[in-house]
Amino acid sequence: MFSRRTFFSRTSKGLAGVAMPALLAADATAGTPAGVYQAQAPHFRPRARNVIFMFQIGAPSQLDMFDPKPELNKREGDPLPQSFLDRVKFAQIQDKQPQLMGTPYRFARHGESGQWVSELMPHTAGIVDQLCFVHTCQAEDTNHMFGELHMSTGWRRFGRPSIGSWVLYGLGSESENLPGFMVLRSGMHPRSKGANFNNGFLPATMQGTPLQSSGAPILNLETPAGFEGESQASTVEAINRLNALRQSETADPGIEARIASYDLAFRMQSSAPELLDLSGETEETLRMYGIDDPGKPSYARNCLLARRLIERGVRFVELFHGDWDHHTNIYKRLPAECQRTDQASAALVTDLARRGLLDDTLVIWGGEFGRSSVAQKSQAPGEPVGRDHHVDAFTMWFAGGGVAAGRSIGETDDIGFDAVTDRWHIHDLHATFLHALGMDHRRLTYQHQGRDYRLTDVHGTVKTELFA
Amino acid sequence: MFTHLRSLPLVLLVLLAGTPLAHAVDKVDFELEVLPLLRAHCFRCHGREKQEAGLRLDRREAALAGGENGPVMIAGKPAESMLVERIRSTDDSTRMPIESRQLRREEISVLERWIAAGMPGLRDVDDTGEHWAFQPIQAPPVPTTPKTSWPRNSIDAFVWYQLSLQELEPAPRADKGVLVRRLFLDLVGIPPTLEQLARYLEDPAPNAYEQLVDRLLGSPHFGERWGRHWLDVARYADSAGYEADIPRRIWHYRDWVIRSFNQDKPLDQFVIEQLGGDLLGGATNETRVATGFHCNAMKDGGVRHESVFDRVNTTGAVFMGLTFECGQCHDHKTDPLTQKEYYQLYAFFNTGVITPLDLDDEDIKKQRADANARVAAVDARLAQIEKEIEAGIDQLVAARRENREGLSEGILALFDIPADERSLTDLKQLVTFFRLEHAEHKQLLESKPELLAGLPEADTTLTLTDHPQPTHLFVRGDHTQPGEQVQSGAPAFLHPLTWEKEKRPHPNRADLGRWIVDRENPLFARVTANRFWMRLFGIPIVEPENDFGVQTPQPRHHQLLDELAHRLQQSNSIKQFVRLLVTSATYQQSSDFTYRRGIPDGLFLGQQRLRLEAEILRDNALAASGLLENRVGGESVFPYQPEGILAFRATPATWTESRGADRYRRGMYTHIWRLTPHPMFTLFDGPGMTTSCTRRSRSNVAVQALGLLNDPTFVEAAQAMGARLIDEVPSDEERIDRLFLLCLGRAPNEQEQQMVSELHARQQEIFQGDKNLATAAVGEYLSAGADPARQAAWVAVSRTIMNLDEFITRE
Repeated sequence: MFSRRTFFSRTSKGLAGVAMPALLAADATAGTPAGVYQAQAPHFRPRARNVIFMFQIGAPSQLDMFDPKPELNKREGDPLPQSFLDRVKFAQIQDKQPQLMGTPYRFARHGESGQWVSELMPHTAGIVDQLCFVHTCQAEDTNHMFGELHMSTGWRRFGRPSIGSWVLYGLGSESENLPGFMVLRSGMHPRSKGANFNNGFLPATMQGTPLQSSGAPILNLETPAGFEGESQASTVEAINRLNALRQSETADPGIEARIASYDLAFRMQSSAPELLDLSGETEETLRMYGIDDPGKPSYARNCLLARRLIERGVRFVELFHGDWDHHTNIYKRLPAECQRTDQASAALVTDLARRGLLDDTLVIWGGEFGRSSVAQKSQAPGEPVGRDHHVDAFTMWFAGGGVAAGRSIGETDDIGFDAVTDRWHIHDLHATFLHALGMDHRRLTYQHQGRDYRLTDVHGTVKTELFA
Repeated sequence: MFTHLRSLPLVLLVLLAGTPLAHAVDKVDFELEVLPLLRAHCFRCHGREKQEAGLRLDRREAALAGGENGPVMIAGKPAESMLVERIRSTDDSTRMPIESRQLRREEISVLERWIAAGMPGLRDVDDTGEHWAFQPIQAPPVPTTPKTSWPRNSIDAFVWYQLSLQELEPAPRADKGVLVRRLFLDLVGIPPTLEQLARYLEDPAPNAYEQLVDRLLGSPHFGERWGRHWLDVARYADSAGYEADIPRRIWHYRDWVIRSFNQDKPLDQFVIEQLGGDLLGGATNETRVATGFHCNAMKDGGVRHESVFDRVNTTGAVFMGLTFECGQCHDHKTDPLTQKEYYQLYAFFNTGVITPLDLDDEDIKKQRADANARVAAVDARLAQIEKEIEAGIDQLVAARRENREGLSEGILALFDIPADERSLTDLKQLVTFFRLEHAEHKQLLESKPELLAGLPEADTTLTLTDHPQPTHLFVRGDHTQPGEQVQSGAPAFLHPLTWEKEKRPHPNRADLGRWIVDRENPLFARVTANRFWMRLFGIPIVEPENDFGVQTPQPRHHQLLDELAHRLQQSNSIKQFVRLLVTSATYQQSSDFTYRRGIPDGLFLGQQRLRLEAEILRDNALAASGLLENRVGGESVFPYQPEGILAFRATPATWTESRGADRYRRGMYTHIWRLTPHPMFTLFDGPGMTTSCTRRSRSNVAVQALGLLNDPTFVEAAQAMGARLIDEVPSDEERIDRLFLLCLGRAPNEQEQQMVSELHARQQEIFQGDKNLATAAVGEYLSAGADPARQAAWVAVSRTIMNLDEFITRE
């Protein structure tokens, strides 16, 4: 009988490692040649190895934070010109004559790069020299649920793999103790839920593993009462030995995957608490992120966890935070949301940079679309105004991973309605993300139901301007 | 008592074949092997439409004559045949098929062997280019299988024939113990009890297996197992979905499904009732409940058209195996479905309105009506009193002013307002004040709740009722841009839809149902047979199982599929069809992967090991440990789930944990909040329930292992199992046997016995060293007079066995 340690090291030699999730993804169903799941080497030299996507659910208002429009302020109250009115796609506004609405927030140029950020985002303003802004991102669907899906999967309906799954499919995972694609949520969850980090038709090991946003961050991590310590270890060892025996009898490769699962699960029982234990973080770090109580779930804590995940080799970390959907009372709710997120978002970039992790990590900040340059008046009398959804142009920012720091890309027209230059459709964004990771979005394909699928479907142009 | 089982050979090779398969089957079947290749790769350029380089391969004479450069096939000489040279070419510019993937080695080999054999079977192919799945279903001739007694029914004859062409053999019959557990898990979704196991294993009758099949088909749990498959495609849930995800009461539909499977409702009726049970001549509550099928679409007030889209798309995927949804915005790009035809289908469902149906019996209905009438009478009297007060308000105020005691400042101020200056609000407040002082009013008001006391909440379920309204095509699928008006109707490329035109100008949902189950429909029986096959074999014969459109290539075994479809049509019986499948030798093959090695996926027609579905996984643990409460049907229940699952919902939802036996009901009765389903359901690939799910995936990730190891439900099952072993079995050695039998349906082999003994000894040592651990490990299941440490060791051993891959797998 071999000891637990030798058993685990034996199995992990053979089973863990870079290609593990890809190779072992197919369960007993087989039916697909194993090679399909093999992790692929990048198509060319990558700029980044990891991704952190800070998905701002509900569509943040770019006109109040990142895309100043003095002309819009001047024309406050004017009707939206007919040329725009003819083609605008509102989600909620029913007004026949919607009126332009400027921003009450002061904008200023920041950093050496002189990029514009409003007073709502002072911490982000402090790191603009690390950021590349794209003001002309473009979505299609004005519905949150489908907008999210479009941004997360490149497809406006359910069923397709998410970006994180595609990345894992392409590059595999480098973490032996944690899943390669982890999801953190705060505030309101995405409307289309797990579909935002689902594997779709890709193998299930490529799905995002969500941390619980309340209660225990990972379910069933704790050994049940009475089995702590040796009992659990001896049980897991016996499970794997008996499984190995069955594997030798049935030759089923699915059992190898099961053994690897128990192996990783057992390691997660010790690695995940360590991951989630923030007591080793310095006061200064916690302060930088704005974490008052490390025991309390928050966006700030998730940002810190994101860094810890990247440190531990997790390939793709996605944060979802909501809700930025300010149809009404925007001047009260928007500052509150900025307050909740600005400091931590900026701290994450700074923290990654000072630990030497930023160069390898593509950081993405943005929502499923943006908000409109006209006022949305509430149905309820007396309720303050807000902004409706807007898909034609909105702002996202990027950092790390070869991104051109301090650059600003794309111009919108005088009222911030439409892109004048550089349209970056969601498909272009996706093509560019993959490019940053060394993958050609046209070659990262997966055959399903008789056809080759891509994250970008039949679209997408790589926008090399994003990179330095 | 069961130790004798160990003497059963572990691998029971019941290869019934009289003669082993001859290895030299050098015959190549033109129809089965060659033609599909020619169709897929050659006819497009060398067929009816085009004859590149003068070559035409779909006509015998032309194919033999060759093209501009002479003959392409020389009988008996593949190496000298241009066809072979071109498909083998390494030069992309000359290799055939041009601008396409290279033929696989085995495909090339088929063509070479065929040419070597002198191109037997070459014929004029009457290829109209029509898609295989749209051709009528005809019973194919059953192949004769002279050299074997392996086949048990026609399925096997087709499978044998196919295998023999590839020089392959079927896998041996699975071990009896594996078979019995396979049958139980596949047909009823719970493992056999010791008695059930023994009854089969000790039954000497030659048809013991068939008898077991019949017992299981007659079990009330057959409807649960197969009903749950159907609920996947029906996207059943106990809430409406979208952000609001409001609760809905529709579990009667779930129970209707279970009943229908148990009663073996004729398949055609099963379909017709679900689509149009409210519109049948003899409509009853039972047939109306069936229309819950399309009430299951997600629903949100603002986007009703999305629900109707979903009804159309689900109908396409489930019954026809077609991706209708492409027609929402434009004509289908590949299938012959126009956008207009999509909206003709839409018209069927557009008139269906979700309506609660009260299922209370007449007695209760009458009681409720009576009570409501009494309440109405009281309300009328109350209103009358208030009117009287209002009419005499001045006198009342004048009289009450005399006795001001106990009156608030506010009331006094009201009294002081002169009658002609009173606002409506003032008046209302005065009336309220005086009615509170009115003795009869007070008494009547207080009596109201009692009038309804004792009456149960109305027992409703959601059904469809028909409310005619016009349907317009949506331009580019945009519901804000209605186009041409359309009437209900079926797509023209399939068989015609007939209905009683004298009764209604346009067909209704029930007519659509009849059209679907029509024998002329080439799709319904094929799609259904294929999906049933998938449930029992893991992979379907046609991939993908929900798209039989033009894009989808020939089935792995077209004739087998048509045989199945034909048999399904003939019997019109789900139970008979399942019986046909599970009594085949094909079904009874061993699932050991060894027998699969080397067989190309496209040819594999054997068994495989399948991880149990989310609900069955839990049912299995509860059943083995004796915790399962096996009652069929009823309202959904709320077993344990971890905290925090329902947090952050747009609209709050409750999860009041069920008490007593309801905590141990089968997983299919667990309440389904569509937006936030039970985490174990999600963890083990339960369907998303946003749209129809015709096939679940089977993932294998680490967080699943965490669930099986540490989730309180599974720990409790292990605790109950530990107690069971202590209570029911006298010695430690027999306990291991018993545990294996209860969990795996077989006794342990020697190695296992030894490993588990060692584990047991180790665990007992651990628990004897720490009594507190032992007490916690046993939980609330300490047997009378038992030593906690000894029992805890058995809980730990049970936990181990209940985490084995074999335990969560149907082999």
